[in-house]
Amino acid sequence: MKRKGGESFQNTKFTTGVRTGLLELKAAAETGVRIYFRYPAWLIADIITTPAWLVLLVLPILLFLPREQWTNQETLTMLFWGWIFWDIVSAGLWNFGNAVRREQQTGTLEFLLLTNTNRAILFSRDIFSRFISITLSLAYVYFFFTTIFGVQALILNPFGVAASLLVGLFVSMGFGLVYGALVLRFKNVGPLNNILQFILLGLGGAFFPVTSLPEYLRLVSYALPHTYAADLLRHYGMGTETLLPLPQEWAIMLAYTFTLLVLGIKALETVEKKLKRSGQLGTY
Amino acid sequence: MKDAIEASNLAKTFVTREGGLLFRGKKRVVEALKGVSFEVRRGEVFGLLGPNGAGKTTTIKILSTLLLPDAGDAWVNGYHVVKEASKVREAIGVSLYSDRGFYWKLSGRENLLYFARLYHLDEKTAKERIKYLFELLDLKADADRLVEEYSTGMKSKLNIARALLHDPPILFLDEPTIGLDPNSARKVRETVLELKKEGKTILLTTHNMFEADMLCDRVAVISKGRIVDVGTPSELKSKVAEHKVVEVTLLGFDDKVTGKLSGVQGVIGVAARVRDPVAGVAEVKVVYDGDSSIRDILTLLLNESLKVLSVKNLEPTLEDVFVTLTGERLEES
Amino acid sequence: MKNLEEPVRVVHAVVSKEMKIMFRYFGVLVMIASIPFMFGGMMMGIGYAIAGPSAFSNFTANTGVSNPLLYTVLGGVLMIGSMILVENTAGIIRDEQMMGTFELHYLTPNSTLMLWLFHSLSTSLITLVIMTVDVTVVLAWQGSLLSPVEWLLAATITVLGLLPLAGLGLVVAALTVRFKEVWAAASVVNSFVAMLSGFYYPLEVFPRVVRFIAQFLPTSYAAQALRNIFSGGVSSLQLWEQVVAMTVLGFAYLVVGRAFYLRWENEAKRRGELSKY
Repeated sequence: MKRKGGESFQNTKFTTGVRTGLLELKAAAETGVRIYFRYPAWLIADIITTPAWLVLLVLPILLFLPREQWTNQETLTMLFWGWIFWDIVSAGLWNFGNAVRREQQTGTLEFLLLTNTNRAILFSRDIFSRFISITLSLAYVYFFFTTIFGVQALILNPFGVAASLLVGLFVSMGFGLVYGALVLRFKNVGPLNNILQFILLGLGGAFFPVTSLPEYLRLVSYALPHTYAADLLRHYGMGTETLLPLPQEWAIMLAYTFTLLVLGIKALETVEKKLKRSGQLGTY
Repeated sequence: MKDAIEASNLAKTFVTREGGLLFRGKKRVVEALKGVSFEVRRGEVFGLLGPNGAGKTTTIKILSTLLLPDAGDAWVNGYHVVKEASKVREAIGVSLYSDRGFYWKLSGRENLLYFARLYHLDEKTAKERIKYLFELLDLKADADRLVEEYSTGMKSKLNIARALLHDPPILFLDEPTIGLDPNSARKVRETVLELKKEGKTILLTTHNMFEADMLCDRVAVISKGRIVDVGTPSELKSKVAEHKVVEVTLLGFDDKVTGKLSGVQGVIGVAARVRDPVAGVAEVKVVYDGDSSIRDILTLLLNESLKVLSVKNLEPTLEDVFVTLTGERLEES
Repeated sequence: MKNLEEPVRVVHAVVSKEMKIMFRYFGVLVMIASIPFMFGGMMMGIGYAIAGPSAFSNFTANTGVSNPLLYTVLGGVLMIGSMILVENTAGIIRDEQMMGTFELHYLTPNSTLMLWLFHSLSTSLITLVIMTVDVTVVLAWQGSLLSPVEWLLAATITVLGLLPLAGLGLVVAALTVRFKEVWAAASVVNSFVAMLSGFYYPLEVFPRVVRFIAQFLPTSYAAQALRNIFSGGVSSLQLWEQVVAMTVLGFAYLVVGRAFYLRWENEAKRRGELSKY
């Protein structure tokens, strides 16, 4: 019984090499986008609810300012970019875990794991539809922001903004993959991710520069990748000074992104193996 | 050519927990497999026949790399299921028993296309293959309907189509006809025979004796995590050919009756299926030898505070093999 | 006696089932209880970061309340409670249909509408638990305790303010069950309830037309009343007036919810779609 591959496939042509990875990406992207557009109510609901959520987030913050400063251009622009950054961070953080949970509930998880597809790509489906939804949301949030608060948010360097949003998304995806692994293992670990999200947004200075934090919290902030992503975003969007020289911030971001993505993929692999041992792969 | 599948001393234990409010309750250890060994030859349809909880699905999941064994080894298409899992996955198609497992908001065709890409099929091949499979499984007319509109039978057939997407030489079919209407079940069985003609090796699990009899070249009888016998259906049936089988319907049945019947001289196997637990109506199947045994069996039943509703003599079937070997019945209802 | 015993038994069955399920997702429960702190903390943090040391005095000047933590936690509890209530009630048909238990409720000798309302009651009770825990934490941190009278008042207001939303949930449930997009619709309702109820700000910041709409939400009275009990704040209405307003609105919401639900139910029974999902 040690002779390998005793039987050949009859008529099947398989892709090989780099094309295999591309094919996997295509499968994930196409399916993600297709399913997204088959739930049009969510897209409509997102657009309808945006003004309500904007008011709900911005007004309580403005209560801490004297009333005459409620229309301050700089403050409101900062909140606008904070809002967009929140969207990006949340996309990266939640997508893998939500995808894993959905596959568990739909009953497709075992069938997916019967294939040799890269596990990170397998659960990345929603990221592709999020690209569309985030681009759309950037447009309508900008519109509503201008309409409700009467302020035009600054977008000084659109390419820089896009690049920093992208790196913010990818670094969040690193955390998201670890969260995905935890969902695979423990199912309902949303609370943990929620706490992580608030920490990353709060201490990572999504809505304000971390220099306004007390010193002991600033030390934690400097260790978080999101601090630099948000800082870069504000720099390209509003022209603020960066915490560190630009090349240094980019180098830190890229190193963080690479490390976290590798760690996340490893975490997924480890959990898959563990579940195959305990027999809980198919439970939901 | 070597065997398509070889399982050697597979063992698997599960630990589950019961109840609990804030914290999870008591630990429970379930020994699902206790040293399962068998071989499946190339091109044969091999059945794992056993009731629910016998270890059939656990075996299939280990062989299809979805579960790691605690002990033992297995090879599929010559590859070790743990050490060469990705090679095994390339060579197998798996249809697990499930009424779920598809994306509701995708059509049948879109679901298959997605999986075809995950199996790395070249785009053109994928589309042709999907077209062929829809024809093979009589799903052509429904290919572009969303899966949320599919009936159970259609989903079952789609499940098999997915297993065949990459044209694997080895197929695992877990309870392929369970819950299907007679027409869909017949279509699935016909498909299995077609696939056999194509030269595929098929390992199927079932608790349906007719299915095992009709489809399988060889059958392994599995009970409580052990293989108790392996052979062709006729070899297995020949083991009870000289035996006689009687099915008695009783009113006022309790579990002690089966124990007492087992003690009757000449009785080889006894198994009961409770039809109505409140009234205590049960069908008790007794496999026995010798002409005098039937008299003793009936005398015992009449002496108990039971009412005998009917007595039927039956031709020995695979289920009687099962009753003889394990003292259990195959089908719950 | 038997007449009273039966509904009590049914309430007990529903509430204990829901509580058991909720407590088996203990992590989720903890998350729900901590969201008011996280959200409130985030607002206070951002507020402080952009306004500097004068942030809290500005807050007092704008709201009439000197304790922003208690203010935001109270608002957060009501907001999260209202969201869960609308979502759970709106999703009940779909959830139970998907589990295959929907039709089974029709086989029991109860009014199914009442059964779903008992489910909503369970959600209100869970919010009550969360309110008690969260407010106690804030008060204890500031060196005081929740008195029984305060608790009783707060509990009454929480239930009176939230339970009527079950009516909204039923309307969403009945309108969306055929389109299978209940969560999106519930999210729309939730966002506007959250914005218009003034959970995190006094409604006076809005233009008159928005304030006019807000007065038709029981939660806007609940938010004001809860703040008045614990942290002062400005309110144009007396507590009893707020209670009356919530009761009247509650009645109206439930009547409308009932009408929509029964209409759907009749339709579904005629078309044989009661258990179809």
